[in-house]
Amino acid sequence: MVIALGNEKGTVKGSAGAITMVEALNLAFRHELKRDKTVALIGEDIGGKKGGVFLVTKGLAEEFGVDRVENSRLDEATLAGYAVGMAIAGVRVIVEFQFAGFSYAGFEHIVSHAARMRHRTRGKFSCPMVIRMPYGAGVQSPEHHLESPEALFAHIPGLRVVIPSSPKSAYGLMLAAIRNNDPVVFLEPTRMYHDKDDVEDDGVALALDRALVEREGKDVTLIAWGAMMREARKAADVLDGEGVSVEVIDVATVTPLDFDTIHRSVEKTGRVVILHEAAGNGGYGAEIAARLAEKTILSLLAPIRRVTAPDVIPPYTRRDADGHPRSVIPKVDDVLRALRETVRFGS
Amino acid sequence: MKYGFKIDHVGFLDANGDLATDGLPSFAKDPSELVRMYKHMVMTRTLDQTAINMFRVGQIGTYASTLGEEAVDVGAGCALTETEGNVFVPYYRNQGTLLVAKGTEAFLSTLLFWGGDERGNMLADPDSLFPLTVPIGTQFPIAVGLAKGRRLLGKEGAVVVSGGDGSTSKGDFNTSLNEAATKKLPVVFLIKNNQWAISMPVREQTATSPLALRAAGFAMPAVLVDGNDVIAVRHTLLRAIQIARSGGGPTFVEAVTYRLADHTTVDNAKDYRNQEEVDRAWKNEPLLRLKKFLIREGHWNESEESAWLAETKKEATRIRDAYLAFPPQDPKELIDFLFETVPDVQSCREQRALLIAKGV
Repeated sequence: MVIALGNEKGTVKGSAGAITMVEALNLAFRHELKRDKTVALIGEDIGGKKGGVFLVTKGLAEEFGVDRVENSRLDEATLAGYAVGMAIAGVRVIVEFQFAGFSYAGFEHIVSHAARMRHRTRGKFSCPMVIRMPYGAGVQSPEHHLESPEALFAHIPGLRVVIPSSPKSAYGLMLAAIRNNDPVVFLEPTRMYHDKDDVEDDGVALALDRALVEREGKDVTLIAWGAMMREARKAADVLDGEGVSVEVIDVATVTPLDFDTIHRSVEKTGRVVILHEAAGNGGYGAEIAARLAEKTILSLLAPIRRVTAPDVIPPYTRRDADGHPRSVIPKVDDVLRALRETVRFGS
Repeated sequence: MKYGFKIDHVGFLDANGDLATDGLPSFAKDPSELVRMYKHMVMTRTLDQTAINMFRVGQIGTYASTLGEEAVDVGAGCALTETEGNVFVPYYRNQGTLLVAKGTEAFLSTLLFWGGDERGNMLADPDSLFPLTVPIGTQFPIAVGLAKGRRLLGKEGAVVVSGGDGSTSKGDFNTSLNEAATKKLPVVFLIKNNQWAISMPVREQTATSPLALRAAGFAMPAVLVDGNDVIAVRHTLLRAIQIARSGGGPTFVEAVTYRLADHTTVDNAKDYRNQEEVDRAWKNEPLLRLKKFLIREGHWNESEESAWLAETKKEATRIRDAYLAFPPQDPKELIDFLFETVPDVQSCREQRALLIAKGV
């Protein structure tokens, strides 16, 4: 699958042995499949010799067998239900939806069963499952391949929503998600699949309820997650050159939200910009903004600012004469403008 | 015929309690087994009526009665519990099965569930009984996934999943049949055809008649059983479970019965259902025919009947009182059972403290 948006080769960091997010996720699956016999994967085209449309599960069926790395048929609604049953049976199941835009068919099982089995049985049942899916802008395919549904899942009590923003965090968060005894919706930013970084296969999991303060700063807090961390990092670099110090927070675990970290940061800087590629209306940025308004309004030196996609269906991605695909997700310039206006506000 | 499909019809007792066929299955040759099934059915009916009465005086909320469907429930319960390691995935109208599998304490769970208390699923156990859930038809893929998972982990036993005729209209049901048949999974699909999905009769739901014919499209064996004949239900399910346990794959069992009750206590079937049809169904109901058979064969009499009825009423009262005295839930459990451990984040801390302070 061609990664169409942003830097097509991806961000490359680390040594010559650096690996992509696709490889880091594969490494995490391999690590857990070896370590724990109850781990299994199921999804469309993930098994056999294909290993998924993005090759995230490449080679796993050959190494661990088709019973543990199982191809499901084209049926997202029922697939989610199978995963619930498998999880209750005692399998640590990792279920793939081929694209986040196809997960809606499985919504009933995710919301009505995965998220509430523990609750409805007073803890006698649990659903240790990872519901993983590529999400967001990043490929040149027609509709449904570009969606950012994190707010839909974040709204559901009983679900965790996790989004990595680098190969390293993808590895650590995926290990944590697999080992967790509750359902975790794991959204993989398509646009970052080919980003590279050094990842050590050390089996160390990250926390599932902690935001990552990626860069400390004192003038303004910039909050983002997933592929938008690319724009966040670039914008912080640019402003650094202008003498503005940006604190960059990678939310990483959208729910449960580590609001303590965000709260502390905004108390310190007094200024905040929230960045996401999903539509603004009812987006998760609105939740963060609301909590900030409740908790920090007297410390704020500028209005809370959101930078999001407009409230539209993601456009199809025909390229212009310069080779740029159509897209409404925020660009670095949008982030810079918001940051500058926020920093300047009141002065 | 090249693509022929055979559906076995199973029934032993007719509506008068006469043997409709030669010979009974071996379990039915033991009078104490027949009496046990009869007693379970009477108990189910008394407890069911108690729940309806409790709704009328506001002691529980909406309740879905199983009146008239006791033979399917009890026959299934007896078949399920005959071998170790079978798991039952119910829908919300299988009270008799729960009663056979878990004893009359299951009725306390039933009251709690319909009374509005999550502890109504306290008997749930991943290795024997799934919780009651309300979404229609979603139990099928979960049961199929359960069978897949259990096979992967090397666990023995069959998964028996139950649903009403209405649930066969869901995509979930049909895709689950396909998966179970393709993978030869140890699943028994028990469809309780009580003729009505709230106000929609089965003939309006599908051109497939009987429903069991649906199995043909999935290359799955199907059996049509008289759902008012507890012997036939138990016999059919025993065989289907045996086939599943021995690697023979899934079976579709359609048990034909009749919902003598309203859909729930907040439904009024008189609005849409012809009284003559209901009167006819009463003549065909499952308790009477077995009672007639047992009396004629000398295994039961009216004084035993009165004594057992009195016993069931006493049990119903005991459980009703236990329900009424059941302590309220701790409000913080609403957060404590969301995840294995309460996440250490601001919102969970604050909301948990608020629930404790304010209650629900």
